[in-house]
Amino acid sequence: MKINNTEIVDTYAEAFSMWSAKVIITAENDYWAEGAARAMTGMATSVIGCKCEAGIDMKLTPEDTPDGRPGYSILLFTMDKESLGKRLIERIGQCVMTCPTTACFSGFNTDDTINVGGALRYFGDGHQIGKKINNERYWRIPVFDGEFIIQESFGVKESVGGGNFYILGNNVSECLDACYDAVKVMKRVENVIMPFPKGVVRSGSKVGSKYKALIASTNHIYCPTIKGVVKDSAVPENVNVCYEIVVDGADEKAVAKAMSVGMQAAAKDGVTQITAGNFGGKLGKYKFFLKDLVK
Amino acid sequence: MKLKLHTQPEVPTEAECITPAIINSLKVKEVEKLKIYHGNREVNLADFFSVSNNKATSLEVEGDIHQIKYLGANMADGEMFIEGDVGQHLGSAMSGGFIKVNGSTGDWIAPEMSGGRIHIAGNSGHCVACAYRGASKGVSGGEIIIEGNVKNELGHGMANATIVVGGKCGDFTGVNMNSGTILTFGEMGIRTGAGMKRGTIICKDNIEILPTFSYDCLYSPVYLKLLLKYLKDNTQIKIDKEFTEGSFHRWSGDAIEMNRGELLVFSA
Repeated sequence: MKINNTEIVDTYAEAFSMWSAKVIITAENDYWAEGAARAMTGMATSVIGCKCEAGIDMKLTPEDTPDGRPGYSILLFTMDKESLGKRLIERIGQCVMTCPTTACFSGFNTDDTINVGGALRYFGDGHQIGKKINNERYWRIPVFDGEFIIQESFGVKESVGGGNFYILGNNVSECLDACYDAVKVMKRVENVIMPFPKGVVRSGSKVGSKYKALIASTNHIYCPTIKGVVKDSAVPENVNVCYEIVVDGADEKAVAKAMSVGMQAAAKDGVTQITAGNFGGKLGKYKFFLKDLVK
Repeated sequence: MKLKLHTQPEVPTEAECITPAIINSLKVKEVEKLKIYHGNREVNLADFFSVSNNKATSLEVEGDIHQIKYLGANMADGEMFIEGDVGQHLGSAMSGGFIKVNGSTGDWIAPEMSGGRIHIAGNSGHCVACAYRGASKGVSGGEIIIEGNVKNELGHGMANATIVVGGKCGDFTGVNMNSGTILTFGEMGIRTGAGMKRGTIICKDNIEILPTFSYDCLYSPVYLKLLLKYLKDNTQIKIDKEFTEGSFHRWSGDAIEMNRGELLVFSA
């Protein structure tokens, strides 16, 4: 199958189950809201080395936020529910509470919840005040510029991590143009993040390594520089560059939509092939067949 | 089910059975035979109300029932819509559900309320959400929104509940308050927050502060923006932009008690 001159390989992206929370950060203005959002999503590209994956989902207008101020929604993913709570407490405590004028709310309205504000309230050293609005409890923690407001419980849900597709081409410049176009349209899809720098990975990984201490290592079959020596190389003729776009989403539908629009934007001159990473179904329970997504 | 008043009671009448859970679980004939107290005499509900089954899941009550007390008593769930004025003790010991009054109410609304929501479009009387005489604690939860005026002792000894008054308040608002929030938009009486232990009283009016409160600072509470947005979405109370975005003087008190309460007074 081809879109324009780009071959869409008949394969699937293999994704796995993760737990996610949506965090709404608001502040006096966009400058501070963005500052907190970027701090909270920093160093959160992959669970392999960061303990979580996080990114900005959407920029929010005052009409979209609980307190009527500008804000951002953030998605944060971990491999299990318990560690999700730990990461939320660490990152909200260190990156959002510390940022001038911010407040923090849950973006998911799910039955499954994690106590976040109820744990961070102890920073108030006994001066914190609990308040209920519409059956939701919030904590007011005194800080230097007034109060940090945080919702007691954050909704969490089982989600999808590791949705992906690879963009293969002849040179870096054209391949990155395609990546840029793909990420740009994928960012418009709600409830997904592309957690790597600017949404793109150049060091795509496989599970395991020849070194026992490592849980992941370079996915050598897509490394062009060793194409000649790797027997199972997947790098085609005339391809010198490969990039991966990883997508985490609140649900299967959101990941599929993001992959669909992303692949269609990336299929352009200079891109030889679009394929995806899978491990024969050993890694995760979700399969995203590329051809179904670009029909 | 729908109840419509056809005869005005001559004396105050107690009708604890008028709740969605009781009325909507019965047939029309059974509802008509429910017992209410007209003064000290037991009478049938049908002596004052006509009953019809409108197939709704909520309970509707219509008429000037200012003489009828205890509607929604012990209510735990369901919805009741009252068209007209209603008597004292509405929502007594209520723990859940929703009561909407398109009219005004008598005194002593929601005593011992622990949950649920009451929304009154008109005015209310004295001792709304107030502790009974001799009790240290009044309401322990829930939400009461009154778009009009109230009289004295609003939220006396209250704990954990949220009360919003769109109009004026009488004297001793939040007296002996244990916790919770009172937000008022109109003119206030005297001695607001006297004896409060914890909790928050937010006033648009420039109230006279008792000498046992100490001044903290002038700031713009984000919590209030959250509460005001909720009210804007759910009530007809007029909320000015200057109030939403304004600054508030924070006072801590009452020093004769735990000194953990706060008065937030709008800085015009």
